[in-house]
Amino acid sequence: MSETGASMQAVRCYAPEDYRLERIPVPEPRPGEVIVQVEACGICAGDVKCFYGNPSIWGDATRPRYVQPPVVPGHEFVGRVVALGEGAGERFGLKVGDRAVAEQIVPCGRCRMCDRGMYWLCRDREIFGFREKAQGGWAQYMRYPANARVYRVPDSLPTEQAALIEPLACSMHAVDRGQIQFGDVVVIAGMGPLGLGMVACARLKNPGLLIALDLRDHRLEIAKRLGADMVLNPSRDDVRAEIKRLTDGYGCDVYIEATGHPQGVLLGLDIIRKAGNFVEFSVLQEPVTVDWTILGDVKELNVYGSHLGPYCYPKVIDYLTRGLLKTDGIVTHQLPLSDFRHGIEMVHEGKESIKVLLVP
Amino acid sequence: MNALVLHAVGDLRYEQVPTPQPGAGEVLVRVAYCGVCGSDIPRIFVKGTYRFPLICGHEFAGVVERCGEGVQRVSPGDRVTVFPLLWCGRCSACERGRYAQCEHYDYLGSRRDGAFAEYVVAPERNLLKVPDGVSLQEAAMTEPAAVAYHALRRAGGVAPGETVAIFGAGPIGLMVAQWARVMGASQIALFDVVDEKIALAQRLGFTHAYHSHRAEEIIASLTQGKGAHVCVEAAGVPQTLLQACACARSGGRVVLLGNPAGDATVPTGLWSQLMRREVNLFGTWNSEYAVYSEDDDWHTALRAMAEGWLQLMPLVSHQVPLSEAVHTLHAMREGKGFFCKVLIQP
Ligand SMILES: [Zn+2]
Ligand SMILES: [Zn+2]
Ligand SMILES: [Zn+2]
Ligand SMILES: [Zn+2]
Repeated sequence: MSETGASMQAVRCYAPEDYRLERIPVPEPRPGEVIVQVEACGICAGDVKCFYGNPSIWGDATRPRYVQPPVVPGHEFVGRVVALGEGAGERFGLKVGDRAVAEQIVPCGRCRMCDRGMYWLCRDREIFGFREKAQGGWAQYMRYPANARVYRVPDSLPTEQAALIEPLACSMHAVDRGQIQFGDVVVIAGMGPLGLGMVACARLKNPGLLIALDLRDHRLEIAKRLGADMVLNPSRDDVRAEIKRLTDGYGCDVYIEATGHPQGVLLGLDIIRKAGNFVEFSVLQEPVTVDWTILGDVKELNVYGSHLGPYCYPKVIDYLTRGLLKTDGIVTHQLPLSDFRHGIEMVHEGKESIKVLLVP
Repeated sequence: MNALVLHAVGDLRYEQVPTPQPGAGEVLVRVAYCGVCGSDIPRIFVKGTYRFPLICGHEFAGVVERCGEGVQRVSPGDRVTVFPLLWCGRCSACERGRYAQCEHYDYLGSRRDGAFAEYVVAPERNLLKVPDGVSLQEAAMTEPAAVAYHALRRAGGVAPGETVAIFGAGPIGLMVAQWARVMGASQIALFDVVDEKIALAQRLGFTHAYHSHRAEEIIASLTQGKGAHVCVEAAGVPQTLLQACACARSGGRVVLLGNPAGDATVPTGLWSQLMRREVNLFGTWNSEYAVYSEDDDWHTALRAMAEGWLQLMPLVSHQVPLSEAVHTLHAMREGKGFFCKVLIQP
């Protein structure tokens, strides 16, 4: 590619709802860096929140601004290597022409969390698609910085699976946090792309009963295809009564909350058994008010937070390549870069779309 | 500079060698004290080092003499101790911060030149500053203190009220005993075959220090026949390994800490008891070190010295100048006299 001075098409975020399709220079590799030609890049709920000016990203009275405009959004990408900075090929086991993904987080490597291998909780992290030093994948080309965590992707994976590696890694980590045992009744609430990925991952653990919850029936249909034993729609089914009936009144053993809505938390605290494992994955739209006593005096719950997909990328790539992890039906739309606004709106509404990919 | 150079197995010479120079990211440390580790004796006289000639010595503290290019965290004059394992930073163990389990490690004092010398070079990231109030003699014992702490952490630590039995009352065994006391053990028993070590343990306040042949009987009487919660094998002797296993209670923890000196044959009855009583065996290796954290074994050991939780100076039986160290090391090998922790002073 890129003789110096080449330009490319990219979406750039300047301010909430001020995203522009522009021509900008193709990045050049510095030592340790990888430049890829982007094959596809998903639109994540986080990207939508950023577009509409969510204060957790843009800052408010109590929180600093995290996004550094102008920035190319997009962190769910896969690309083909077009240039390698000094040492990057050996470090990541890559050559020009290989397909590669990078983890969403670019850790600093020199904070306490990084020191202990807990890089996904790095204090001084960069995140692709939000930060000046980690421009994202809504562009024809992008740079994986030297500190990025980069993995080769086999050519055999179709684009719509390769672009799901990042969200599936997050799904796998959340399922791991739940520590599912044989025989467990597992409830996963919220069948967005991440929740559907959790169903696919939880299926591999062979629990006693895997139950998916969502308000939209077409998503529940996909959950069934991905391995849910049973689906319930809280707008129609009496979920509390049903779980009680299925578990002799004990409640479910593991509850994974991926709805993004306070109701998902309240329901979970209600239907989980005593000493159950409650995994919180959602980025909630608003603060949740619950009877906090349920955690301690009432149920002695184990509450596990879940953030990103640490150490899961190689496993996801391996499981996808071997055909063990199902993804059928998660990617519903593939749009050209110029249709990014339409894509964002589709994800925002969440009616007929699930995962929307931009294909530069 | 002056150094003890090992030219071949048993061929140890006190001689002049060029002073090493720190490269980029490295630091030249002027060695104040370097302890003799139990492992140094077989390394020098039996097994040899990974290459020859080589300078042994990995338990040391000193003062920063000069910094190589790009060094930022220490400066000349800083008092430091050094984690002697040089990790690769690229393997799966390093990725998780488990540097002592590195698949491609180097080691000061066994694979590359260590600190039985006036100066030693180490990477910046391996240096820890010594807190005020901790002497360089004490700081030179950070490595064994960290190893002792790590051994108990491997067994999940000691809960208040538990009984700990330690087999081998050398420097490491005595440090394990001190850590067990800090963690709240209600009874700590130490066993050895050397009377001076038993006496030293008693001087340090460990009243249950006895000859090893009485171990099982003593533990039974201290625990109403139940056995110890934690047994630490810190001698590397086949008989003490069997004793440590035999003294563990149902669900108890046995930590294998001493470097093995021979084959152990587990009698069928004991083997069966280990199963019936669901005893947990823990291997322990080296210690956990962290560069940017302060709750690893090394930072914790230094803090324990600063807080007065560990009394290490009574463990020092000898301080010898570098010029006389060849003689002392031979005497240690031949077992001439009583040695606890020996510090070499360049
Ligand atoms: Zn995402
Ligand atoms: Zn970090
Ligand atoms: Zn040692
Ligand atoms: Zn390593």
